[in-house]
Amino acid sequence: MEKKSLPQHPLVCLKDITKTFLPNTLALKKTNVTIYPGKSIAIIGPSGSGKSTLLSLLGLLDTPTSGEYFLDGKSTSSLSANALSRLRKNYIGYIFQSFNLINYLTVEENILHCLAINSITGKEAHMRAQEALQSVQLEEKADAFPEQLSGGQRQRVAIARAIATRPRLLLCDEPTGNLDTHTSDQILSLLLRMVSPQSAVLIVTHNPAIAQSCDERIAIIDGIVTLGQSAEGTSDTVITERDNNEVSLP
Amino acid sequence: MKFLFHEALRSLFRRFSHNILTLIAVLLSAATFTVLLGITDSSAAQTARRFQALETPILSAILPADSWEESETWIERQATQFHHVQNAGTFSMMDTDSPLIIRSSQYHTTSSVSVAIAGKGGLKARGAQLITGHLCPDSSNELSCAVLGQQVAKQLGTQPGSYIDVKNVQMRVMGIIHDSATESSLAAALILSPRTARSLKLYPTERTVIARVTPHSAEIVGSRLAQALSPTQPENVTIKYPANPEKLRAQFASDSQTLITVTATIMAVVTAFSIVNTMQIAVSQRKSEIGLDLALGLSRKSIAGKFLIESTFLGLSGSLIGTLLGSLFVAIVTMLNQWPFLLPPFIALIPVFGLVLGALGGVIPAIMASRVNPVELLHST
Repeated sequence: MEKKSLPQHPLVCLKDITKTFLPNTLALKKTNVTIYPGKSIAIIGPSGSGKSTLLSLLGLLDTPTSGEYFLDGKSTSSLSANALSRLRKNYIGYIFQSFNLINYLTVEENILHCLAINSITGKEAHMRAQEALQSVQLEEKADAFPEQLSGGQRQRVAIARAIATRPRLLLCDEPTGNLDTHTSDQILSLLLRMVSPQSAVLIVTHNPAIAQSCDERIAIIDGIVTLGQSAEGTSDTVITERDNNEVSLP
Repeated sequence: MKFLFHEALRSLFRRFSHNILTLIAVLLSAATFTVLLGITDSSAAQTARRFQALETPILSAILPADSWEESETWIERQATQFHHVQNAGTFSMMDTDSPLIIRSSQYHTTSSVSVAIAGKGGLKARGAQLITGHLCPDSSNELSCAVLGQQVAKQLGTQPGSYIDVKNVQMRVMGIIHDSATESSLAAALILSPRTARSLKLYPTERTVIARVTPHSAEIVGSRLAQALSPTQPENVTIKYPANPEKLRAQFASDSQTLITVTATIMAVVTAFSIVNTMQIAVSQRKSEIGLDLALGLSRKSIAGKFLIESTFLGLSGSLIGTLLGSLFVAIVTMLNQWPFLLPPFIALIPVFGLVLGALGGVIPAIMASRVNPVELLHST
């Protein structure tokens, strides 16, 4: 397969990333990942394979034991905790399997809370919240509390909350894990619509069907990474195997 | 900072059912302490007020034995030279363990009496009232006159002008008196002038001079009376002041200090523990919220600050409401009992203490909150 020409500046670049959990658990070894904007990427693998570890490193929620992480061309390895917080604020959005909505806030307040952390308040914040709710078709639920919503609606609120800040990198951890098939399809469709020339969407899933829907795939099984291809035959992200051999796509 | 305050207060109000018990605990602690302070002060003031009604503004000066050589006229002149002294003179009671038996010369009736040595000024200062007859003059010619208390006169059946035998000396009864409204010992007494008492050798070792002073002037007169009554040796004169209602009130409050301190300490500990407990539970229940905030980019310091603001406000609001309710309770109790409504200024500090306790109680939970690992969110289902 021909390698398509990729944009010049990757959004994410992991170089020789290793993560070890004490005492001797090796979750990732010398992993290399490059993500370009405008792509949807699936990280697929069974439970315990290292997907969440990779996601937490990509989302700057955790730091690697060794290796370099470049986000939008900037190295993150020597940044302070506050600097990492600022990067998370400016670049990254999260969608969790368990939604993680704040129960005592209404739907709109959940979104406004996220915007306020990003120092977006007032009219601008309300406008963005409304836009986000419109994009997930939940405008009429703005004043409802999470306990009054279905699972699918809650996940849509979580998506609205994440996209309101217009992140460059949207990280989704098993976003359909707690949902039925029909709702899962709706959510997946919504997430894939969030891809833009400036942003990328990364979905962690153990569902092969969801993985097939994405532009690219990163497969991890017991730390060993294999590659896959989307139905349209687009190029895949270049990654390395556990033993540090760089692998290119055919 | 504005964002943290807003978030903290919103969380407190929206999660009111989780915080209500702690709020009530803090409120009750503050209210109880307020009531304790208020009731203590008000009841002390009421006691002082009641005491004031019974106050006898009489100063006593106890002079040594050689003072009996001074004439009663001189004593009275020295003691009444001060502007605040209304009446003054000798008033000494003999030892009551050895009562004297006197006999009516006319009716041969006897009476066991106590002996009082008093000048006219002394009797007036005491507030004794003449029922009939006269008081004995203080002049040297009248050595054989006596005044009887009302009860003694009744027992002997005597009237002014009749005679009685006192230690084999015949004495003329000049008058009959009754004691002051607040005293009664003169009713069963034989009252002799100082000169008569000296001639009969019926006087105690120490000479007591009493002075009735205007209200609130006892301290002023007392400081000068010793010098006036014993110019050469004022240090030999002992001044006894009447009980000061305000001092009594202050002593009452001081005696209550230990109780108040112990109560305050216990309540402070209860308040602090309540807040610590509530905030720890809050951190535990809100781990996903904390993890989310960290994931979204809120710093750990801000997370800790948010919880600290919550606990501080919990302490402040509970203690402020408690202080107000306690003050209201004190107002109602004092109104019903017709006591003066008094709240010590210290009560204004109770909300401040509540704020401080709230802050202290929130420190550990705030630190716990800041240490939540957001990665756990990725593993929760």
